[in-house]
Amino acid sequence: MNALPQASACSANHQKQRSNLAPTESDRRPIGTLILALLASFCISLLRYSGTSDPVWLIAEVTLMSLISCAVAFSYPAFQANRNSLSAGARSLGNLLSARRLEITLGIFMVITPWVSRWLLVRFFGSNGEANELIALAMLQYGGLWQAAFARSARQEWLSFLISCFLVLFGLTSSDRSGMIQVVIPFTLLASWWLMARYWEQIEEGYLVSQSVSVLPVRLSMLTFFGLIALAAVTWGWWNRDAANRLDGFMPTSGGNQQAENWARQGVGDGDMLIAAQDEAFTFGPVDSELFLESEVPSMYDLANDIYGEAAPKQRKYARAISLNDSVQEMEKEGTESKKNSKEFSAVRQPKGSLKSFKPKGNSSRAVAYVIGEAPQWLRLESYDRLEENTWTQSTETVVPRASRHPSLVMIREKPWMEVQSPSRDLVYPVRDRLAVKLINLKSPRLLTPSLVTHVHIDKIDQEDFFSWMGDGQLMMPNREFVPQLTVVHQLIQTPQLHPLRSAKSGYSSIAHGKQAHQRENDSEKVKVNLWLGRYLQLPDHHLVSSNAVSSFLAQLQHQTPSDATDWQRIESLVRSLRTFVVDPNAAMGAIEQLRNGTEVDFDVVDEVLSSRKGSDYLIASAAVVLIRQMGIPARLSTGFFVSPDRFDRKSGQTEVLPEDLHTWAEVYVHGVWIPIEPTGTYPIPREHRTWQQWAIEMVWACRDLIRLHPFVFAASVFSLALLIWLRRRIATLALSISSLIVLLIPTFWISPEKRLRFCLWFLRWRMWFQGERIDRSKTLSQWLREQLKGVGGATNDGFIRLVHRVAYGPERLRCIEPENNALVTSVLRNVILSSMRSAVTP
Amino acid sequence: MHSDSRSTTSDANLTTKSENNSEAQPMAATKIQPLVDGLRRELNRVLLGKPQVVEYLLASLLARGHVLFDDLPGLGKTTLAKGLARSVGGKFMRVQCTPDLLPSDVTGFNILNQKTREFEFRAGPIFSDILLADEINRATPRTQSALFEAMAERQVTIDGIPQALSTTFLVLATQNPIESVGAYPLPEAQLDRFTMKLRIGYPDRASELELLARTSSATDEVQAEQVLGPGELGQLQRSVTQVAVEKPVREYLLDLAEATRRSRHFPLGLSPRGLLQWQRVSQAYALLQERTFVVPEDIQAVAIPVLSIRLTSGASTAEPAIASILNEVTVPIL
Repeated sequence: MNALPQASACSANHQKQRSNLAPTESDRRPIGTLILALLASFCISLLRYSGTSDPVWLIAEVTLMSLISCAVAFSYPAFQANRNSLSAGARSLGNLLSARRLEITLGIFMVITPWVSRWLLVRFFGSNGEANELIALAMLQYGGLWQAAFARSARQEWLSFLISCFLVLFGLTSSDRSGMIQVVIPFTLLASWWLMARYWEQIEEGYLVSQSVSVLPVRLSMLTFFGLIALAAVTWGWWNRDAANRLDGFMPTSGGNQQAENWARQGVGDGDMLIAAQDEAFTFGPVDSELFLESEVPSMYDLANDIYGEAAPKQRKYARAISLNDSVQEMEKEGTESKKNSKEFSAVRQPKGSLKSFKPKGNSSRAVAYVIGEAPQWLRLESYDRLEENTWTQSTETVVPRASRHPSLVMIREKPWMEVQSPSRDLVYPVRDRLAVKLINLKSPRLLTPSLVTHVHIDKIDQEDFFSWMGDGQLMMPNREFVPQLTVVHQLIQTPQLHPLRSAKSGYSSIAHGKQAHQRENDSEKVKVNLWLGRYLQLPDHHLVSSNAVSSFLAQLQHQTPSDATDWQRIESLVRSLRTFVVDPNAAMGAIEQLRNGTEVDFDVVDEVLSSRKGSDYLIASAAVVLIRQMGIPARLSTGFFVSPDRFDRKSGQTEVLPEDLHTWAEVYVHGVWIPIEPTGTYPIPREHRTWQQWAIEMVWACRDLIRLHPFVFAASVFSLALLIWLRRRIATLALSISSLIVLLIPTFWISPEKRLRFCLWFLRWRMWFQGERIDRSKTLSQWLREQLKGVGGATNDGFIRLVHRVAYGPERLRCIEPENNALVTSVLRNVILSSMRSAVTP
Repeated sequence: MHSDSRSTTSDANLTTKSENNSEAQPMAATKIQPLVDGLRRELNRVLLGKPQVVEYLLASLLARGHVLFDDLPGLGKTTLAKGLARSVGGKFMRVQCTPDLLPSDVTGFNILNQKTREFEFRAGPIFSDILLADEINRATPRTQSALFEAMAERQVTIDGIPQALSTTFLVLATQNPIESVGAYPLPEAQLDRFTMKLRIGYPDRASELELLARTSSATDEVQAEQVLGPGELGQLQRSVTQVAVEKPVREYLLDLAEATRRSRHFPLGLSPRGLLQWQRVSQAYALLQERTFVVPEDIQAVAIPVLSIRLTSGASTAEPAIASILNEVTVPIL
């Protein structure tokens, strides 16, 4: 750090040689240093990326800064060198942005950007922003980039290099992302190359040139600066007495004060230490201590009754019997378990009472669960297959297909996950999305899962027998009364790929099972599957023969659907039609009143919904299931929670699920997968693809269909597009010429000949631009004009060029063109426009 | 290494020149063209097939600049100088430089008149309108510097008495680039006194055929006819100063000069004095092209002869380097 002014040891001759023959300081292009700084910046960005709640913003910010520094590094020396050959406007800009001023302005801008952007995010977008130490790192990151971009001297390059090294080391030691290593390796290689280059430079130049640069003595300035900072810190600490408090919240996970609470609420790490996730941080101990497992929390059934009202009293004609298959002795126990969990869900309910408060003792949150991940989601808790007398029940039969076996244990990213199902690759998108459900006030052994869950992970539970697959296709923890509260259930889900279902040629066009259900009885596995599937095809007695309402609705639907529609498209049109129904939570009141009075009525929910065209979500869903079963397609009713995006809390990055989010919808069985459908109009349609990869796949499918189904349209559009690209210059020139004709039509007294002349030059310049040519900067005006006016009548050209010379270089009094030259200018302009039109049109 | 003192000197030079010339008023535009055309015609008649060299020579003449011919013997340098002297109607003198040429042989000397018993001044060849200094690099530096004082100041000091030279005094010097034995190469500072370095080169075949045909029958050389009347050259030279150089063109000129200073091909860039001369020659060139203002092409056209005398690092590299500078710097376009 010896920057004190030194006596210049070399002769003036050396300096002269250096300034004239050797590349001067301003010629220096610190590419190597810049690359190192970019790599270091990328390292720190990786670190920041894993902690940020606004990844898009971060990516945009880092990209912007990298672009700025690259642009500066590449263009600024050239800009400095060529500033004299710039136009007057650019030159004045260049004077304004003198090297020093631009450097300092941009430097300040770059360094304070992280801090400003956090302020913006917190202030206007309700985000957490980043933690303080990450902001400090980011400021250093951009400072390094800035130094690299503006490096004019070896000293600046060294500074940038040291910053880069520090950042990379920091990133390497504090992150376990594998990407980090992949950045660090090229960084190390480049850095050693950089060091060698610097060493070589020193050997080469050291004895020839020694410069004296007068700068502020570094030691003094640095010491003063840091001394002042220390003094300020001490003063402030003294003022506030407990200086230690000031450090609170500097680490993102420290918690305990206002600023870092949001971080604490998110939970720590992957969220398994959920104690921190609820309110204040008390402990990081194990979660299933008795203290937190109070029995007063509401169960799912309490929730259902509270949201939808009590089930209306039933009139049973006969008692229901439960039959157990004796031959399956081993499954008996499980059968009883599932019987215990098998509930019924009445589609006829009494009017809703006032909402009870679910607040259990010592727990301030009303939330049933928190969901980290994409919303909306349909989290299923129960599903029902049998509709009898307006009541949905779960079959108790233990006959389950092979697909719903016990889960197996797999390791994903060094953590145990239960693989619960692996649906067909054709129907689900292979990339898995991640979802975490933090159970708060839900007392059920069943797990809240989306339909297409493939893997489940609960931290510190890595035994397969903890999970069981219920007959209704729902996951549960069979050996417990309920899943412990505050458990975080991580789930991997696969979004459905519905495109094959809509394509008549994909082999998935038919999903109906009505006919197949009783075929091929020699295969016992198939029989099992068919028996199991049969439950989901079973129609209530009332609908064995289609009622008027159902058949008229189906007929109407038939009318709306094209004849070659696939089964799935028929379902979609059915859903579209049902979604037009009025959603009324208090529908079908009259019948309920009658039921309550004990009057025997011939009442059916499906008929009621279809004829009145209104109902609540469970009514409409019930109707949807019955109608889909009428088509011979397996379907069932699912209840659970709808994770509404409205409840997304940006600060903690999670969605709250409240008791009000209890919801009922329908699911369709498609080739081994239960795909949710949403027949209630007030809820969104479940998404089928989300990521850009899925969009790309969709596009590929669409293109394939286009090529296969409409080859001529495709060929024509490709051909015309190619033609358009091939002829783009001609087309652009033609458009320019045609639009320029207007100027010709304007009378001469309106536009002065001088303006016309300038327009002519403007036209020629744009024509060149459209034709992809550039004006050779060493060409003089007359050379350029001669070239451009080649095809235009030769005699007038010299006169025109003389006029242009006068306007461009002549003294003030000569710039005004006499009226007698008006005709000349106009004729040249006309010839130019017409000839370019002609050249654009003729081959 | 551009010292301020040098630029002020050259400024002072110009001021003196114009003051000396104050009696010559600029000529009316209509009168200029016939005279210029006449000069051009006569010179082209004398020197066959070299219109561009004639154009440069005329530009230099109108810009009051001295010319150095850097070429082989026998290519018509003397013929051209004589023709120029005759056509402008001035007095032509010639000095053949040799190592034993003394300064007084050039400037003249005082001699004691035995009859009157007084010193009489015998004017040397320098008291002329056009002086041809042949093979100037063969003269000793002492003689050279006497000549250069005259070129810069347009006066000589003999025995302490300053003697003014002709107001249209013009030196055409020649040097032979091949025979370097026994030569005293001109230092860079002295080269800067010349405005241009010209090369005539061999004539093309057609011109040489015509030359042969013309001289086979005639005994004498072709003589140029006088075109300018007395004082008209001064007026023409004054008119050059009236040619406008507008701001974009000035900027362009400055860009070029800065490019020579930045260029790695030249150890020294163009000095402000060189820049001023370049502008003046461009003005003269514009006047020759019947224009009352300078366009970038004028500047480009005279760039090589004007710059090659100042920016020589090695004799042969200057021209391509100048051409590359002209290619690099952006021309201002409307």
